Amino acid sequence: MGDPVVFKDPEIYLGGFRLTRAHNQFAMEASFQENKDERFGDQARAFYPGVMVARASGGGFFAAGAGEIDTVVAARIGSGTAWPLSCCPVGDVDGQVAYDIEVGQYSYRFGARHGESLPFTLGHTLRDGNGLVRSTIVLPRASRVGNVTGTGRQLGALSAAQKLVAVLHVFAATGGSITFTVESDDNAGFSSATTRLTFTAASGITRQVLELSGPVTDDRWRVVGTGPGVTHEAFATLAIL
Amino acid sequence: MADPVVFKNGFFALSTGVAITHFGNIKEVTLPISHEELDDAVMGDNAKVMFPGIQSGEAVTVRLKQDFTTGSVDSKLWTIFNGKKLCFFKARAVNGAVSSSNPSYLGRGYVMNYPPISGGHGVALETTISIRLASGSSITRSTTT
Repeated sequence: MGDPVVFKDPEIYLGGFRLTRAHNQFAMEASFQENKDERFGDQARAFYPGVMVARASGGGFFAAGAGEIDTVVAARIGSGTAWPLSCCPVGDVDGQVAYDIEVGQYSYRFGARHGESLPFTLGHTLRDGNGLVRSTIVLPRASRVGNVTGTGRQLGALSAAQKLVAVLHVFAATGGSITFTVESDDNAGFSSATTRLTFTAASGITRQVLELSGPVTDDRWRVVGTGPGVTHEAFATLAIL
Repeated sequence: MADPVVFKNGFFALSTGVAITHFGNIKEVTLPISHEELDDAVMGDNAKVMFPGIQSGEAVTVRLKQDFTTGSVDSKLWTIFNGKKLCFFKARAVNGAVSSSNPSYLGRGYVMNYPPISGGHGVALETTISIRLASGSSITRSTTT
């Protein structure tokens, strides 16, 4: 049996801001509404999963300033604009699992007694019909210069009923703009790669979630960034729903 | 009188197939079985008399040690949960062969709740799922399967 997952090295990204170090607690949860499904003949109360209810919440230490939790979040309280929230529970490692959710922030609280380190709690409310999404990290966050090609991952082909969800956080982009795309192919070398999705060119902090409807027979996927001379820091995940 | 069953090697299986094996990483299982209490009092009774109705279908809850390794707890649970898969579940007091002294409790249902990530800094991540009975199912006891 594996060792416990000690919750000490997650990464928490909200809309192109790394908020990991602001937090000391975090949760992502999904549940289905329990629709009654009992009929004559049943010997017990029966239920069927209805629509998903997904939420996330976190807390930690208040701070304001560029890139700090208060400055990032305060302007968003009550805004209807959805931002992707991504959590890498075991770290931001290429190929590892992440969970993504598109959220607004309608609940933000801070306060303490005299002398305490000022804490905050933050609630994230779902703003997208996909709910909570389990994804694969295909472009770990790192500072890079120029073009970048993420590792190709064999996530599988898309059936007509499936879709690919691509989440991008750009934490920084200076010296021009960089365009990230999602490519697919049928071989590990991506010798005949097809561009399937193109994110809006990034020239600073930004975020975007794109979807691709199936069917697609290619089963390998990767994220590629094109921006010669641009210094950038980005993170991307892919998931098949 | 028999010795107590120290619940240290319990069996819990959860699968979309009938041939189900121990899930692993289980820390706690709660399997509530209760019948609704229907009012059965009539004139002449001096007390509130009740009759057992159908099973109330409270959620079966399972607490697990979280594991994000490929093919382990998180990936298995997510597949079942997010796919709204109808699952067979089976619990025994001891992870050994089913018998008259180690009966199985079985049912079919849906995983309605899954928090993959939840905790404070430094904790060992756990997750607690809840399972609700599906139409056509109730919790049954078996000494043979």
